[in-house]
Amino acid sequence: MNALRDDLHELALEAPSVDLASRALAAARRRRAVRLTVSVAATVAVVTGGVAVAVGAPERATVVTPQVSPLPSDVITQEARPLPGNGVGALLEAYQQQGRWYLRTREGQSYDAGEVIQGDGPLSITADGRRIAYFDRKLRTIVVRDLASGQIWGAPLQLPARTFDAEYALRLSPSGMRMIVAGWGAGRGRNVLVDLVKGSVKELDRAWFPVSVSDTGAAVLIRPFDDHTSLRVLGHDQITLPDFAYDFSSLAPDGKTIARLGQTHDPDRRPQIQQDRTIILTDALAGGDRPRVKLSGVPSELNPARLGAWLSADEVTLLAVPTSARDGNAATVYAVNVRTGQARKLFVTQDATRTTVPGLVS
Amino acid sequence: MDRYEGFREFVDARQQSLMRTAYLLTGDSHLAEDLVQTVLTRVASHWSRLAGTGNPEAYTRKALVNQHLSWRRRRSFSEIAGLEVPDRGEAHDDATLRRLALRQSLAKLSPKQRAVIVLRFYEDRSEQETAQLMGCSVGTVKSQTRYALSKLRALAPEEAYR
Repeated sequence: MNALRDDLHELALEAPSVDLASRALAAARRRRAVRLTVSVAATVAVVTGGVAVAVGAPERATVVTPQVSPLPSDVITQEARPLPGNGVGALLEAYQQQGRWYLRTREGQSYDAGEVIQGDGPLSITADGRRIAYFDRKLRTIVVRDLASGQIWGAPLQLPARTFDAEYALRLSPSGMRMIVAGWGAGRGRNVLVDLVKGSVKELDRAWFPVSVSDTGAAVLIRPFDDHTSLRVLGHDQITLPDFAYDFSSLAPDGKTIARLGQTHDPDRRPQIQQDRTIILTDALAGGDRPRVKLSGVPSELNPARLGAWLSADEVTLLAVPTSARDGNAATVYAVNVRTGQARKLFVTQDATRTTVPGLVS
Repeated sequence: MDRYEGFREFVDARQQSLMRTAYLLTGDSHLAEDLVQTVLTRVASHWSRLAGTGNPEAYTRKALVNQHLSWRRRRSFSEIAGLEVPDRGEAHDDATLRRLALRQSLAKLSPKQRAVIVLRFYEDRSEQETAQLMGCSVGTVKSQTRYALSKLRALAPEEAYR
């Protein structure tokens, strides 16, 4: 094997010299706000009808198109107090500082959740901001907690403690009663769709990456390749998108439309994949892209990064993150009209190591 | 205190070594650079914790391998294009011929097989270390090594890597 060793060492010398420290630092600073989930709740000051959060009846829940009114531009943050067992309002966001999670409500109340949510596992918030899901170290499973009532549901999973050493995804349905737990890399062996009401677990094909799941169990899965992306809604035939795509919204209220951020792939640029500041609608069941719509209203200093939940039949949430860490911009959440591309600013996220806001496909 | 204090020095000391491993893992200098930058960004994001109590070197090495393997989901790998093994009649010594063939042969391995070859025969990791880095069992390392070597032997010039 000495010949193999020698040849590998000779080949390795062909690697170009690099100076990556500055780029990695700049990217890390930008990334501080990237793990996000967008808050429908944060953008919805008035919701009429019952949003699909009724405990015990998620199967009967219907998609409600919320009426949206602007969020006050400044939310006063009070000093964080320990997260109580119940009586907590809908969340604007969750953020991590010095390894400790804090929850901030739409009303501006901050809670220290460090005793409840420990470690670097996932934290997701339902699209209405009323429930959170996180890894419970003692129970070694994902639990969903209703912040108002304090009720807790545990997923029928026994996860090894090192589960979240790897990359992971935790997708919550609008009610929080269905979820997809998925991971890749070391330490993760299963991708599962969990129904908390029935207590059932369905294995998913590990080759597919989860985008979202509805309260009826309609899971959207993708499989990106260099020159195309396969997408399927569980129970339906897969469709093919004509390019590499990774940043999708959840399913629209019509149950079939999905939005994605347009991007280009150029092997001569770095990074090779660049957002082109467009949004594309696709019929997730029948296939077929509509023409790209150019985004407007997002300043050039911010880069469209993630899509999330739908605010209405025409508006979807968008997270934009700073293109440079040095100019003082912060990650900002917008509502984007998918027909016109016009974005309107909803709120600026907290500057923190990690920030999680409800609803985004992160 | 700067949350990234010490990160630059850490990177300066190790980035070339990481690039070489990444280059062998990906077979492409641009992909290798993307891979290392992605991993270093993750390391920087966790730097305050890693520098305080963790082992940044071990974390980075493991993240590099994991990221390489997980890229299968995000992107299919580019094959190394264009390089054909020259005829023996041209002015190439055996070692050069072998290396050219090795480049092409590595490109035909699965990411996992490629990783075991790089970790076992470039980084000289033990089977246990390789298993730990790849997040799999020692048995998987053994079997993947066996398959990978079989492929390399089949694809490489005669008598190489026996």
